[in-house]
Amino acid sequence: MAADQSTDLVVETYKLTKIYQNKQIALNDVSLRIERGTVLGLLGSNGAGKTTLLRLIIGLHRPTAGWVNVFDKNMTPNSAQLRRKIGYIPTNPQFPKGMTPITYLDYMARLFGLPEDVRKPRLASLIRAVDLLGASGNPISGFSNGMTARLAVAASLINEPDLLIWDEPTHGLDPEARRSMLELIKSLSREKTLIVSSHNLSDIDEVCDHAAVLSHGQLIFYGSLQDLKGRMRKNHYELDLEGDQKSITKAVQTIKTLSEFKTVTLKQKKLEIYLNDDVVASTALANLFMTLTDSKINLLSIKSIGQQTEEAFLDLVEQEESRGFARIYKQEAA
Amino acid sequence: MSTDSVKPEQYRKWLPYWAVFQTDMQQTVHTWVYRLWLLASILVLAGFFTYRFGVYKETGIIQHGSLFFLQSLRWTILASMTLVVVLTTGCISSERGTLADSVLSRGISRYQYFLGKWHARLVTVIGTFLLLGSITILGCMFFLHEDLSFKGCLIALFAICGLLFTVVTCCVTVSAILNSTVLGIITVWVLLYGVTLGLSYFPSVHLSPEVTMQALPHMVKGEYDLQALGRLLIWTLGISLGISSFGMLWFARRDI
Repeated sequence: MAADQSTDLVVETYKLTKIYQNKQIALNDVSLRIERGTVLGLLGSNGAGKTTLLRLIIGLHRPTAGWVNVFDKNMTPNSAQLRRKIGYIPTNPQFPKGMTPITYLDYMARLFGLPEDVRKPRLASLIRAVDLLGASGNPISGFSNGMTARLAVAASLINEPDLLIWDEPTHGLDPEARRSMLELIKSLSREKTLIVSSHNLSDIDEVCDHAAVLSHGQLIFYGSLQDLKGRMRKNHYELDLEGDQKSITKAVQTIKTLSEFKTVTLKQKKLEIYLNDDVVASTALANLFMTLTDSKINLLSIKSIGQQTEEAFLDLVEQEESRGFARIYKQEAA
Repeated sequence: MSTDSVKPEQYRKWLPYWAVFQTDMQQTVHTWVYRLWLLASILVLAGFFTYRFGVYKETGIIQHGSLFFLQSLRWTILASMTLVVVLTTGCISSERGTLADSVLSRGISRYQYFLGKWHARLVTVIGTFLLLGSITILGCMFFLHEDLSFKGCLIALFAICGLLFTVVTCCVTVSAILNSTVLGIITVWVLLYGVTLGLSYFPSVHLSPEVTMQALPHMVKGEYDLQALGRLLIWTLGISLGISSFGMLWFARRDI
């Protein structure tokens, strides 16, 4: 069983720490185990350590402490063989001057050591796949953000990698290009392991099945996206009401007197409520429905607000920051 | 299992090195610094020729071919060295960041990347110098052959190549160690002046670039010491290999 477990691991980090020139702690004690087929969304605010973590995994940086294993082998700056199985897109990818998509992809393929009879057909089909056929002979310097993003995708796929590491792939893209990128990630996720970092939490919500949340260089959550959502406080609801405005206002006054509700706000016929932390949601909502029924007010819709990754992420970061010195004792408590 | 047995056969181990080597050479010859160096060298040579012709035409004085050849070599060593340092010191440091990311995140080791860059700059700089030098020698031999020795000129050219070899190696190594190109250029100049000054106090005079420069007028006339040249080339090669090994090991261990 142990052997099976190790072969299923694509990336494993242990107590990974990166301190830049003894001045900045970019990553602190990060331990992760990413299994084959996972689509991991890396979340965190600016400076949280997302890019540092990705650069450590790809071997562009050396850890100050801890280690990174990729495909069960230790990753170092000279692990060229390991990187042959990885496709990487940096944030805002840049390209050498004076190159066209054909010469650039050919260069990338040669960097992977692919012989001519393998790389030429592959780059041709990739240029076609990312819809750059019409611009394949044009200088890259004149490309739009969307076109450079598509070229970066093609470059990351030229070696037919098993693991894809994409650092903010939707950054700077217009809605149409962003949609195409998300669809591409979805289709690639069927056969590859992906690590995608993004500021846009709705992107992560849409394409990932696992999430890792970094805050100030520390991993504060790692697990399935459902687990992340399950951690948030489910005490915020929004109701659309139908009926006489006077009756609605009167009913809201009654609801405000009920002890289960922390905040009750009415905006025309839209009612927003926050429950107290210690109450059972179903009991509180039953009382609310009774009050509405008594006032002959019809309920058009009810939805739980914050069933989004963004809400869960912000909750997590807030909780982490509120712990203060208590976080030192995390290990013991666990 | 089947993919594991097929994939390794598809890779060419030294292809990444060649890719970096070829791409760097192509990009170097397209830089404005390289073009400026080439243009300035050609203009200087043309200027020397015109001056010599003018002096002869106006005063009837014929300058010796050895003097002309030495003046053109001095230009290469003193003036164009500045451009050579600028041309080579930025080769790795200027690519730091996302441009280096897109190369070093592929299937290439840091050693191959460093070697590719180093060899490309060596071939470009020394190749260009040899080409310009050969044209000058041929021109001199054809038009001003009075006191010039063809073999002596070639030996003088190789002696300067030896010095250039070390300078280019220093520049590429500094580029791999430092993040800033400007700081790299300053460091290289300080190093070059410091080492030249230090070597001038050494008892082994053949190591000194200053002594080599002083010997050039004799060399081009055919008064050369092959053993001394051999020692110079062996030393420059040894020092260059030492410096580059240090740079390569440093680069292989640092963050990009």
